[in-house]
Amino acid sequence: MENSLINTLQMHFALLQNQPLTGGIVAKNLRITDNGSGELSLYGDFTITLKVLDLTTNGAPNLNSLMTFTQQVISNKLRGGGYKSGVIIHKYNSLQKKFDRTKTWTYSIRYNFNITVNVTQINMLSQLKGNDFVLAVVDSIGYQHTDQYGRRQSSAGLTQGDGGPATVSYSEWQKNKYFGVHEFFHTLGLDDIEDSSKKNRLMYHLGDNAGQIVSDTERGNMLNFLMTNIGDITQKNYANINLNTVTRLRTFLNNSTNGFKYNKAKFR
Amino acid sequence: MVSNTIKLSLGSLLVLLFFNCKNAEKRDKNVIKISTDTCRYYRYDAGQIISNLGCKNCHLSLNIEKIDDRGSTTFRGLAAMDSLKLIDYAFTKKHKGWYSKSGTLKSAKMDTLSKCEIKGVIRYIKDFGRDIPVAAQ
Repeated sequence: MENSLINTLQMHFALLQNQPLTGGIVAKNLRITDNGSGELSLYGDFTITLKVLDLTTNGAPNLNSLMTFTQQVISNKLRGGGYKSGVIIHKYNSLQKKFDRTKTWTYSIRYNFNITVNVTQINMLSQLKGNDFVLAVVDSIGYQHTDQYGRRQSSAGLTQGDGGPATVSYSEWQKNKYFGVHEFFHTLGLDDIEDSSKKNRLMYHLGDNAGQIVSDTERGNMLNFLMTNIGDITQKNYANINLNTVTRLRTFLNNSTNGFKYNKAKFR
Repeated sequence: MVSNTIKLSLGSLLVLLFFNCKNAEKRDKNVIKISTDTCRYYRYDAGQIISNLGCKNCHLSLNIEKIDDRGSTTFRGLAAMDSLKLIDYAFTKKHKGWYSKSGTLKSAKMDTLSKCEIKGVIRYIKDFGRDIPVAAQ
């Protein structure tokens, strides 16, 4: 709770000084409309920044190319807005322009977000802030999981869930350029798919993946994640709360179960 | 004398065979019971139920404190609850009746979830607190 308060104060201070905000999600010109028939439309200009931290032992000569590709695909997949029906949230009072926390309601939501995506390389840990999104590039990942068919699977990338740090093995990323996007979409709240009838989906994570489709539902879920607390839409500007990114990345990398191999000298 | 001993031995053998057969039958029943349990956990399916119910709209799923700055229990807070308490909290008391058949959120149809689906949802929530990573292959 304290972190959230500090983050809010920092955000307002930066806005007052007209400073560019750091952070995973920065949104401006936010507004909401209610059509009175159970549909809310959300508007805003969003900037999403994913910081790429190269932790490989021998360097990653193709990193720029992979980052450019990743930036383009993320932009493309999030473009075009989204729609989610059956969203249960607090009731919106359009006269008072705020959500009434004593009542709940089921809405359909239209997301009309203009989204700019930045994928930038950082070289030092000090360039990573608490509310950043991060993709750490490592030498290899030893973590194995069992799929729903009972088969053991190795890992090309590993992410710690909603808002969490993502990692990708550099050699595997070179083999499949979409791995960076796949991992980042875990950060934006999507789950892996193992249903063999959905091999053409980007989030299908088994070896016989045959496509990169993101469904409308998945895009709606990611846009929903960008405005995790819908009450924030009633502010004019917004930056995501503190995710404790540095601490969580350190814990994630040091967890021996995950089996990361990387240049520890770069992580300081 | 010898014939009595033979009769006694054969009788004992018969009794032993009878009980042996009865035990074997019991084991077979157990095997059948285990093999018919079809409830399996699929993370993706459980996540879809969570998404459809809208759990994360109120219980924010960012890995932050157990209570957010609005005073609501976060997803991490839910994950920290005991499973039985969680079932009672989510599926029995049904959020002050909002999700019951006559509640304001009856369209979410929480009442229609099967026991297997409820088990899956509970595991999904508990796994969130265990920080189990998601992998690309």
